[in-house]
Amino acid sequence: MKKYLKKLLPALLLLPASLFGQINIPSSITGNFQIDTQYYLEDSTIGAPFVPEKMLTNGFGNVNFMRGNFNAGIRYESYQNALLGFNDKYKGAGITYRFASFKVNDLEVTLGNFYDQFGNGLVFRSYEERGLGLDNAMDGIRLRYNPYSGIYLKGFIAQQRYYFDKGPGIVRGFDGEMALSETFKSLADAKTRITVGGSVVSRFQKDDDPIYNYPENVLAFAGRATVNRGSFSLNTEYAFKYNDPSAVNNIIYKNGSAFYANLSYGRKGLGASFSTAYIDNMDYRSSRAATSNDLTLNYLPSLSKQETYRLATLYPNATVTTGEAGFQGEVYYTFKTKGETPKSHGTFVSVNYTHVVGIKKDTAGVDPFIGYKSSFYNITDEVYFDQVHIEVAKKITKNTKLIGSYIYTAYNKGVLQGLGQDYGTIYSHIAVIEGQFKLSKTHSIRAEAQHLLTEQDKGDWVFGLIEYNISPHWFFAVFDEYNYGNEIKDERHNYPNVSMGYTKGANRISMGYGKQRDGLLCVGGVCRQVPASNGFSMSVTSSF
Amino acid sequence: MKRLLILLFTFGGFALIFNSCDQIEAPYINTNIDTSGSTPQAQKVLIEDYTGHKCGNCPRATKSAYDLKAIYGDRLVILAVHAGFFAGTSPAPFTYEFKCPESIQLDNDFGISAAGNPNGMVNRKQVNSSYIIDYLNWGSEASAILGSNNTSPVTIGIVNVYNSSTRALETTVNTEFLTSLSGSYNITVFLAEDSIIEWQKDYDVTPNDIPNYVHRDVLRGSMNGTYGTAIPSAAAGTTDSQVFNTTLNSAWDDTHMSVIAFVSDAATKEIIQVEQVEITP
Repeated sequence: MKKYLKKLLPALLLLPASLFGQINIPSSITGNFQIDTQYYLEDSTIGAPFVPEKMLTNGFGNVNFMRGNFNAGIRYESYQNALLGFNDKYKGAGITYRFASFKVNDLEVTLGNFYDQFGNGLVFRSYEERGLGLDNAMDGIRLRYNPYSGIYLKGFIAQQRYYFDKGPGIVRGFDGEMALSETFKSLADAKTRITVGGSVVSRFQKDDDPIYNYPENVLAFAGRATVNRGSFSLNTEYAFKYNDPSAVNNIIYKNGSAFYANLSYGRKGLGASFSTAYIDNMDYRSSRAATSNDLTLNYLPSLSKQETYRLATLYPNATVTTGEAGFQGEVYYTFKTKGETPKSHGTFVSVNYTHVVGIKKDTAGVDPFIGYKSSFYNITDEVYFDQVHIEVAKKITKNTKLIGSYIYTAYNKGVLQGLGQDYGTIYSHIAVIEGQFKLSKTHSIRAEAQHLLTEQDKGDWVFGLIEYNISPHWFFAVFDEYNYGNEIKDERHNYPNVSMGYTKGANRISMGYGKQRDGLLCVGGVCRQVPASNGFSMSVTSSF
Repeated sequence: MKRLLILLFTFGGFALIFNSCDQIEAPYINTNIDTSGSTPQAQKVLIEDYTGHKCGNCPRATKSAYDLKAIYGDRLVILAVHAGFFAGTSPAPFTYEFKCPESIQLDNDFGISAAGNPNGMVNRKQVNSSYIIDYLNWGSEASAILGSNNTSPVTIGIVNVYNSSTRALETTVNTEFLTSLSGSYNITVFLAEDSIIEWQKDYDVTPNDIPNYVHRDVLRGSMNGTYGTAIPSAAAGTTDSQVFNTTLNSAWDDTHMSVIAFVSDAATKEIIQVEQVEITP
């Protein structure tokens, strides 16, 4: 005992000295905050329900402390109760994210919560989409090690966030990446730069089901490579997952696989990219029973262009994690106008095409517990999603910019929403014209007109928006969505919205009144109706 | 040396996790399941399957409940609670009314359809502070309750006296606590109708809309309120007898009716024993 004390005492005595010795290391505290409140009015015409609380609020705040190689933070979240559209499991308030991390030489240690991703995320991606109520943060221990230049190793063991709790699965992951041109001096000046990587992830979940014999350890692994040469860049990844019977795949023991590749080219004024993905039974979660957006362990990229125009978000592509194959190609070019530089007044044109189909699932002679047989890129002609998006943007004067878009979409509602075969495909054509007008140094107007034509679903829609900005403080916006082409006359609703906001420094306050259409949210075999709403909203954001 | 260590570390990291994989081969289903309970009254468990005729993913969950029933027999009681958006009565052909005031109140109170359908509860026991249990976990939760409690701390006896001409039903529910339990307990007496042939959406079949789906054990109402009536004492040896009278709705098939009675903790809502007895004229 004495022997240990002799060693320990000087160390303890030196500890304050060593702490004071580091007093010159600068430290910083940062944070951000957001609160969204909505006051709901019952509105039977659009189906907005009576909300007993009348007012619902989501809020959160992050506080992070940083000093030298040490970093720590917490996030407090509050749902009193959660806004309509969010899962009711977000209820109450509490600390949902806390972590401490430090770096000593080449090793970084994180304790507590973290987000991370291996490669493109085919076997592991932990992330949050606050607006969608998705947060699959990990809670455990993570190590990152950079032993040599260009070699990056990562390992973790953790559970996943499940609302105010944790999922039942214990997830273990390891990832290694080598950037050859950084590691090998002889390749430092090579024109072709190659990075290779590999990852393994295993989930342990106890099997105490009385009927099924579930695998308690489910393994997925992936290999990837990126190659850059000149203006070209190629990124590929292949992933494989062993038997993982789950609620999402309807309890089949078949192995899963996924492949993703992206080739892109870019130079001044011209860009092109081509992506392809093949997904077969690759839904991977930290609980076999999880559905919806809960406890997702991997991320299977959705191939289509991210739409921001409101009517174009009516029929969005969604990855069918149980099986799909597709590609996306995009080309954009800025035409040089005589005497001008391409960036300032040239006409910008982009064309994007997405095509996603099903994969062949051969059930003949296959054990129903295995489900089906499939082979790589053996596809069906059943279209899941088809889209053409053309955009032309032109700055016609110094202060005026016009953007015109045409979007054609074929949306296989049954498949993309997990609703079976009976729903058919919705074919829509959308035309959008957007104008941005600079009135003075501080005043500007943005206006949008959108028109959606479809014979299916709820028929045609129009949308109009006017936004007035007085920089740097004020914005005012008014828009209306009108389902004028609904076959059912009583459901030809208007969804008007007015809002305004004030920004000063890092503080922003906005408020508005509006109606929002309802929707059916189906993910991973569970459906939830997101009700329509009518009411006043207020939002405050701040950071320091 | 450092290189060797890094190599070992990298290789070890991959290898350790790579070996963390179980590959299952047939049979995929367990064959030796102990489902026996013992006297005086075997512990039973109630699965409440929150569903709706327009919920195309729900038949999967219902099937999984009845797969369990095939193993556990009488020790497992299933109640289909129709409520929420997917139990709505439009558009055609989904016009049949499966909902009742009790199903709507339960769905609202436990927030089940708001969390999505299918979902359910197993003995209304909270797991990770949530009543809502994903259907793939119903089996493990039920087996945990049935496995750890061979006998129930309380017995329930149901005596139904039914007059088929007047459709009058008198149900006597007798309870006896065999061991003393803390807290206060309620007895709740529900009516369920089995084998209603009506439309159901099922995304696993084509076409999705099935005209003659057999709706099993549907909650029709309560004889003593959504959360039942109080049992005076939970001390060992206490017996209680409560009598309830009702007239069965003429729309219900009285040859398919049963009484489901359960004892639950008044505070936590957790069910500690359940019993189901058919109504016979």
